[in-house]
Amino acid sequence: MNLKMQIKPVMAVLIREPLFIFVLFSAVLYGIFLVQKPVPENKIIVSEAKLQEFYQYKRQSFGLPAVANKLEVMSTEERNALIEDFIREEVLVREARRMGLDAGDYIIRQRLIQKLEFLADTQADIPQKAAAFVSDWYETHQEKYRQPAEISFAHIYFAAKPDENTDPEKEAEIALLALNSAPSFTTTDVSAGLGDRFLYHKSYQRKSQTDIAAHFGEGFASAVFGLSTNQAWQGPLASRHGYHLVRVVNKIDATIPTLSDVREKVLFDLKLSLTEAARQEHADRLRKKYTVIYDQ
Amino acid sequence: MTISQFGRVGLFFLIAAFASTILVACGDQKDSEKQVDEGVSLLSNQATSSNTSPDGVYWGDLHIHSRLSMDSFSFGNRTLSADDAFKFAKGEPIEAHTGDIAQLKKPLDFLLVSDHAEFLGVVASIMDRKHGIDETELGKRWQGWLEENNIQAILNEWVGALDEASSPVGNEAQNIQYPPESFFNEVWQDMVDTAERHNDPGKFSAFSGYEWTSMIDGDNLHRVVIFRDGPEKTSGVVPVSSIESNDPEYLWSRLEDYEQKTGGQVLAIPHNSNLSEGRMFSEERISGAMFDTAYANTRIRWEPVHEMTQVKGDSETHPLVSPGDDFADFENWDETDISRNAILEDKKKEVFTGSYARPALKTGLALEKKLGVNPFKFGMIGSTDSHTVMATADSDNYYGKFVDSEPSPERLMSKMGGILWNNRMLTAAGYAAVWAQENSREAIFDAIKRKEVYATTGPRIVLRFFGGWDFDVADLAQADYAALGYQKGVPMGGDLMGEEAKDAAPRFMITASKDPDGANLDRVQVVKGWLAADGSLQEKVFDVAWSDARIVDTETGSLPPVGSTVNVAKATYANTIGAESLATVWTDPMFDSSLRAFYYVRVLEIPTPRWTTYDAQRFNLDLPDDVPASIQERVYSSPIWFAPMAE
Repeated sequence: MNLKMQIKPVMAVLIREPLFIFVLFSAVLYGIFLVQKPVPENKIIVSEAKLQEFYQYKRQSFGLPAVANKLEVMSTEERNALIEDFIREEVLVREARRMGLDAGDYIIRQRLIQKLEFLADTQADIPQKAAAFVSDWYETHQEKYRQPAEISFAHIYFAAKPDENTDPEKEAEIALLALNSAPSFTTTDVSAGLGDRFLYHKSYQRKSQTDIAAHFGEGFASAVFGLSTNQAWQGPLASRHGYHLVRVVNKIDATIPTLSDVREKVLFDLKLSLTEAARQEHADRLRKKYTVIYDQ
Repeated sequence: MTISQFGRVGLFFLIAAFASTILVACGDQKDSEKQVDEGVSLLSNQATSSNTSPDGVYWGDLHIHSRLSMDSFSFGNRTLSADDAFKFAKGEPIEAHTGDIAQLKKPLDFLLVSDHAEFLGVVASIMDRKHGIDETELGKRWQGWLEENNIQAILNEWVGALDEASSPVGNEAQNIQYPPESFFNEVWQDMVDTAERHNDPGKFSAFSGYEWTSMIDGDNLHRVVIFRDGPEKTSGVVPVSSIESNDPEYLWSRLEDYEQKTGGQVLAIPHNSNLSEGRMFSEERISGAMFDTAYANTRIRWEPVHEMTQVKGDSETHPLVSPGDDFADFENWDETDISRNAILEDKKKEVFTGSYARPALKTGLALEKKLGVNPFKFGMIGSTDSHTVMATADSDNYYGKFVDSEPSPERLMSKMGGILWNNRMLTAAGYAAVWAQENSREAIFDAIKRKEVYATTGPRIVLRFFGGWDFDVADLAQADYAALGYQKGVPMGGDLMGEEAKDAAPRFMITASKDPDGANLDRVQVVKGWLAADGSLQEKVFDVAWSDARIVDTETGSLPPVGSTVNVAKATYANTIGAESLATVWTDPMFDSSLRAFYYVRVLEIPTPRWTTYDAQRFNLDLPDDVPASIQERVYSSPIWFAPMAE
């Protein structure tokens, strides 16, 4: 066994150790503070040409006139957002250069921004009191996790047959009487031979109102959510294909899930949002050092 | 040094301590999450009641690329990741490269992000400074090129390595110092974690996998590798690269290793046989040896389905090999191989026998007679092969293949990646439709394995196809006709045996319903292929159900076209022709119980505008004359095979 093989696992363990990572970043940031130079140029000029160039770099699509023209047809909001992005990026690049690195190439600019943002990101990982912080954040963002109402049901379909002069609604009503006077709840067998072939499915699992509307039409979709979950056949409900008897197996109201149900996604989103906020705060703080001049 | 600087250092130590706390807290949650998951699957079992036959068709894409794929990144996708691919498939909006917000009209039920194994994540990791790639020789060299924006130099190296990979260990790969396995395992781990985060049994299945990208002499032999399993089994995987070997037999042996080692399950799905210059379904192995029984067994064990429709064209069949088929001329991509080497005009007919699914299914019958096993006994699916993470297959909402084929006034006249084929050649296709008991990785994978799947060029037409001996037209009137289908016969992907034939012809129960948001149906066809007594391979297309009470011409025996409601200038159509649903029980009129055969269903929509026509209208452009203005979108079922009584 050589020395290299012994060292590797130790490094691997250290790399996964958050404490080690943060100590490392603390040291790096500390070093950066030490080499900070005084503020040089602190004016940022925003011009049409610069915005154009900025937008093309951002989209990574130089050949496309569609992108070039986009600037002309942009709404005021979009344009203002673009200007804000431009200023923000300019500030970060200059701050990064001030730290002793400089280059004109776009990828290096991106790298510099990433480096600074990375430092800011480490701050995003600081929930004050971990558990409480997560649940507080979830409380204020829970609308985003609202799950639409879902239904699971089986149905028996009675087709409208224009050329046969039958009354599918009547047929459904008669069938319903038969089904519900059956001796027990073992209605699966009784219902097996009833009804007509439906275009799509015999049963639907955990579907939203939009899903159901696609196969049955809006009216049926809203009516079926009004039925109760009691294992009995109900109806008939009209759809754009005919009439249906429906047995609702399960219904889940639109809910805000509990934190434990969606914790993994919440943690992921929280991290993203903290990162974004920390980046923005960091950039805003740096921006205060600069004056923006609009050269229209 | 000031006090406040000391204070900051101290703060970072504090941060680190809190971060450790939150990580521990996450760890504790794992168990309770598991319980919730089990609760959910219990719930979905209840909803299926006692019926264990598949009653749900699920729609998905098993072939899509993110920025981790070399070509996706090189051709401009710097930002969109597997995470974005899953979000988009689930129906969430994402920002396309054009700056537009893109969103699927209808979400998908499952997705596999299949990034190219070769150089997997290399450039993206250089950009992200991840996985230590910047410490490797290749990483340093490419980083320099990336910073100079010299993408061409990077392209030259990886394309070169792929082209040269014709020996078991490609020399080119050695020359360029290919990154170590440990790097690829780390990238893979990220991919597996992303899929796991998006996997939501009962609602959405997120598969792990990758694409193995072999192209010998420019002949496309690409395969998508799909795992049934989650991270507990797939974590140790290092994606198999064609640089190790470009022979599919090597890939299969590595898949075998995985199953042996983990007890997991994995499959390979070939695609773009249309660009293989006849090599995908050649009767020779890569070594030059002929097929034997062991080879046939191995091949069909790993490759039960073929991705036969996608953005780079439709691989069902070609007018040269199916001259009697009026609808064979459909998005064929028949000029070149995958490296854009032209295919000679006088070789086309011969070459295409090995390039398209229908002739391959026929060849399979002859091979089965010879070897006892049919190596080409595959089912059919579609997928997009989009390289922008956006799984779009609808003509009116099409986001192309690469960044430069996203919607713009230029894409009708520009080339893919600036240098490849014309963007307008791209086909707005396809998806995989799967009949399964529930939406879970396991149920969907199992359905693929038993070939209870079908391919669509985009529209979500619901198709059921059963074969048996006792179907009656009255069965179609039954609400539970599908249950009868399973009771009295076999579903798509199944087998009919001569022992049951009793000299009667097989009957097929077929129902097809339009995409609820799409165009009406023109006709249902059964495509039959068989091995004749004289050893020749034959095929015939039967019209078995159609709309608008059309009458078959008694002289020609053909069904008149459904007509067209397409308004090219306005890019519209109307459902004033065609049928919402078609159904039939069909009996083969020329059945011979001594002959091997297969039957699959093709359902055609009424004509609708091709995506290029929507573009011309949207951007007020002239329609190019080398693409059709309208097309008949379609679905293809997996076949049902008939094997005569053993002699």
